Order: sequence, then C-alpha cells, then structure tokens
Amino acid sequence: MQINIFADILKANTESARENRRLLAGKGLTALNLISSPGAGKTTLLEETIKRAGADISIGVIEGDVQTARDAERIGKLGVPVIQLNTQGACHLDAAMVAEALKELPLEKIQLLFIENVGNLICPAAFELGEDGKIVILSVPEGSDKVAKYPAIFEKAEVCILNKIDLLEYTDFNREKFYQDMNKINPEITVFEMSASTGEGMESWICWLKRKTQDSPKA
Amino acid sequence: MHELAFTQQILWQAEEAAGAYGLKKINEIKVVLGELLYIMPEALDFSFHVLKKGTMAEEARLLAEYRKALAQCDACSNRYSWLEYGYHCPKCKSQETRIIQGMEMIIEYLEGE
Ligand SMILES: Nc1nc2c(ncn2[C@@H]2O[C@H](COP(=O)(O)OP(=O)(O)OP(=O)(O)O)[C@@H](O)[C@H]2O)c(=O)[nH]1
Ligand SMILES: [Mg+2]
Ligand SMILES: [Zn+2]
Repeated sequence: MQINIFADILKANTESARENRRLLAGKGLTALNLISSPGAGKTTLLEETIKRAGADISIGVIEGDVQTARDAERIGKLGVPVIQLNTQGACHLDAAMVAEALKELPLEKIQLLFIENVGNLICPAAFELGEDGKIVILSVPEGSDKVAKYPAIFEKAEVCILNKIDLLEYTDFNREKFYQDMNKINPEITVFEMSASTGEGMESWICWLKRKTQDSPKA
Repeated sequence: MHELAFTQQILWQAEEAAGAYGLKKINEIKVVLGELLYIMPEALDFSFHVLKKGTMAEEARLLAEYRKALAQCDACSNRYSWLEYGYHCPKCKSQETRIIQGMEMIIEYLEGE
C-alpha cells in the first residue's frame, strides 16, 4: 500500500520556529541569527557590540556550540543574560533548542536577542529558529570564493559582515569578486566591512542595530 | 552532518503516517531534496542505515530524488542554473528572476504493508 505524504521534512522545526517567532514578537523582541564558519568572529563581534550598544539597547544572547560553555562565559563577563546551548554533536541549532533557551531568559528585559549559531555555513541555513533576520559573517582569511561556494546562506541573510578587514592586505581576498558574487546572489543584502578586533567599521553596524530595534514596542 | 537530523525527521513522519493507516511495516520511503540543502547522498544513506534500526522502517529503502537549483527569469522566461548565475539572467541580463527549484525538502510517499 502506498501512502502519499507530500510534507515538509522539517515540518516539526518550522512549526516550533513559528511558535518562537510568536512568543518573541509578543514580547517586542528583535532576534538575530548569527551564522558563520568556525572562528569567523561571531563571539568577538557580540562582545564588541555589547560594549558599544549595551548602554542603549538591552541585549540577551543564546550561544550555540557543539560542546563547552566558553563562548557563554565570554559573554557572561559583560553582564548580559546568556544561555549556552550544547548541540551534542549536531552541526546547527534547531527551533526546539531555542525554545528551551527562551524559557530561561528574562524576555521582559530584553530588546535585542542574538542567537550565535554553531560555526558552519551549510547546515544552519535550513533550520529556521524564529528569528527576525539572519546575519552571515564572512572573515577575510576564509577567502572571497565562499559566497559562490555556499550561496544558500548568503541568499537568505539580511546582513553580511565582512570581518577581519584588518587582514585584507595579508591575504589574497578579492574584494571586487566578493561584491560581484554577492550582487548576483543577493543584491539587497547590506554589507558591513569590519574588524571586530580593532573596532574599525563598527559604528555603522551599531547604527543599523539601533534602527532595527527601534521598531520594537520596548524601545 | 545535518543529514542525521533530516533522516530523523523523515523516519518520525513516516512512522506517524504509517501508524495512522494501520501499517505494520514500511518498505520504501521517497523523499525529494533540493540542491541548496547541500545534503550529501552518502551521509543521508548512512544516517538512514543507522537510524532505521528498531523502527517500522527497519528493512526499508530510502529513495532520494535530488533536484538542481534552477532560476527562472520573469522578463524572458529563461530557465538557468542558479548556482552559476544567481539572480542575473544569463540570456537577457534581467535581475527580475526567481528560484523555482532547489529548495525542496519533501517527504513524498511511503510504501508499506
Ligand atoms: N585579526 C582579526 N582577528 C579577529 C577578528 N575578529 C575575531 N578575531 C579572532 O578570531 C578568532 C575567533 O574569534 P571568535 O569570535 O571566537 O569566533 P567565532 O566565530 O565565535 O568562533 P566559533 O564560536 O568557535 O565558531 C579569535 O582569536 C579572535 O580574536 C578581526 O576582526 N580581526
Ligand atoms: Mg563563538
Ligand atoms: Zn531573462
């Protein structure tokens, strides 16, 4: 006997993402899903963002890692609420994991929620978490070909942060090719060139964040 | 290895549907996967092999159809590879184009008894 199903394979995740989105919107939160390869600078970006914007925007963080609580400890030192999620081997966060973390966070007090996904450019793209937008971070030493090689995540992202711009002169990163490829895949994306280490280019990113959170009722 | 997570979901949904129809055993599951999900066929097969143990699909085959990422141009109706050209139609250079295939993640049917 054949049974036709024709259902979304990730149906359960999609539904749970929808619930997260409803919960977050109800509390007036803006949630951003941070996606990059391992080591592109997600946690450093968060640290520097909290230092610069933490006084004006109340920030909360969900840290996703395969193992360890190191990233959450780094964020915790800055005095913002943070929950560490360990995926026990899985290469991405899913909406159910985020739902658990949301139960632990003081949502009433948070305006802007960052979700640092597991370092990976491929898997996190398929798993909606209930976020308002995806931020993809590409770091200069990874090379300019990553946009063409992993277009799905660049297509879905609202913002691309080109990080470690301080290393531009030491690598063969081709900036022109980067913008060409990006323009083919996602002409509407906003790109911020930045060095999370030196602070170069951080201001326009912080401005963007302030505008983004202004729409929320808490602001 | 998001293949593992995908396979888990495929098996859960298949067992649920089979249960609803009173089946005892699943012989085949058919899925459709778009190129933009970057599923590696070997990793999917391996995940299925490992995870089906002890389920109604223990002896089942997983049939996966992979679809290329295609875009279609609104201006000239040209269909082309999205991975190669993105949203720029290679024929008429229009940027009013859409992805029409390649994002699929569908469990299509199961066969059982
Ligand atoms: N030169 C330079 N180094 C940077 C910059 N941003 C981050 N780094 C360094 O890159 C390394 C990795 O940074 P993290 O912030 O831990 O990267 P991550 O993306 O959070 O890494 P995972 O969570 O492990 O995926 C650290 O040694 C940072 O100091 C930058 O703009 N320039
Ligand atoms: Mg990190
Ligand atoms: Zn055309």
